[in-house]
Amino acid sequence: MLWKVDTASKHSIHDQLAGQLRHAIAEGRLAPGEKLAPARELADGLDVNVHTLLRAFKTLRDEGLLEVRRGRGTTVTGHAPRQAQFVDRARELVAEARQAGLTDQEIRLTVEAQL
Amino acid sequence: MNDQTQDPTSSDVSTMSRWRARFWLGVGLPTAILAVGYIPFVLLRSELPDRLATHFDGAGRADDSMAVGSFLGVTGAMVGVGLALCVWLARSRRPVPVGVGSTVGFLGPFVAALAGGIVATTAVSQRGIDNWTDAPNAWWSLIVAVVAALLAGIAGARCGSHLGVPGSGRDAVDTPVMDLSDAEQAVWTTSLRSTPLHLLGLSCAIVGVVLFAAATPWLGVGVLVSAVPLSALATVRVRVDRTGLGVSYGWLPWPRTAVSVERIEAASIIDVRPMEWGGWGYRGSLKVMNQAAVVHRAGPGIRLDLTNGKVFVVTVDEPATGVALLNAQIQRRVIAG
Repeated sequence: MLWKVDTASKHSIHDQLAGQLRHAIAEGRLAPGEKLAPARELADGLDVNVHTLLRAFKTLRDEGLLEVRRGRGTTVTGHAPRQAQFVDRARELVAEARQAGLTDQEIRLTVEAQL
Repeated sequence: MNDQTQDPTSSDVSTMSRWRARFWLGVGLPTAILAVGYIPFVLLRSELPDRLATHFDGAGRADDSMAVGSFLGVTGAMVGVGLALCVWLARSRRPVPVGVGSTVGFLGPFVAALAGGIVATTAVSQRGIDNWTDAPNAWWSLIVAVVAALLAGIAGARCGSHLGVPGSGRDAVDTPVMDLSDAEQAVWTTSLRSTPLHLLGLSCAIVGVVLFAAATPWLGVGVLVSAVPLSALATVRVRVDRTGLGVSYGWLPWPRTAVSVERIEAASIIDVRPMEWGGWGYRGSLKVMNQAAVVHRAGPGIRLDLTNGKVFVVTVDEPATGVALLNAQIQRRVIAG
């Protein structure tokens, strides 16, 4: 997959990296079980702090898309593709709701009411 | 793209001389090597038994034999097949890829030295005995023959690689360039897994363990050892970043192949045909030959034309992004001066 960092972008480097990774998983460019390149190598090539990259990995791990195992590298989880699409849509939904003037508490309650 | 297509008349001459040189290397030289191997045999013919010991058991006792005529016939046929292959590979009068040149250069001298070595060492070790069952343990003869064959083959491959045109295999399909602003930095990673190679490595490991446990420990270890490069080469990871292109193999931390951006003249997408690059696996060498190729299958790949005229090829799925990024990095380097 292509990792790209734009220091002139209005999005933070963390958001850029997490977004690209999420998209690559949702579109199947990164298959379940696939191992990501070593974080240090990637950070070196992108000229970013390795902690920024690891934080992006951590975000996706919390979303259930990545499995981070110490010493064994980072892999894409089995159910990741559908999960990634869902996370993407949830993000869109939240952004839309905020634009419509809803507070975070209202969004939470709305989603909860649907469960 | 290919600057090998210069003046047609001058390239015709060099193509003809390369064609002749390939024949000398693939057929003439092996015939000479074989003749040298037969000299001790002819000289010692009267001292040899009617049947020659051709196989030895684990304890070094001869357990199979062949009549002298069939012995020469078998070794001759072995060389014949090798030379026929050489003729078939070298027959093209057009410029051939380096892979073909080095395969011809390896194959001919290798089979000739192997057969010649076996014939010569058999004659030397079995002279003066009355019956083939008295043949002394000649384990060294196989080692001598194999080492001689490998040396002859490697030397031949080195010469042969100069008799092909680097990267004449296939024209580049495309050479895209990615838009990359000064504020942007990008890395492209991909991996390619060869299922046949993976299975081969796995079966070697299983056969090795079974052989080790069952009967012939040494053969088992040998087969087991061969499983290591097979299973490691089964997965190849390729990375393109501002430093250039890097290839790493399976779970092995070493060796890795790195081609720095400074050494790359241009990157392009090509359609890889394994035989034009010398077959499957890691073929050729950037140090001692004019080209190297990491070939896992037929199909798309990345081709790097290096500033020193050499060519590096690696097969990957969807090479367009990687090639475009490499070309962007090359442009950036050129602009930076």
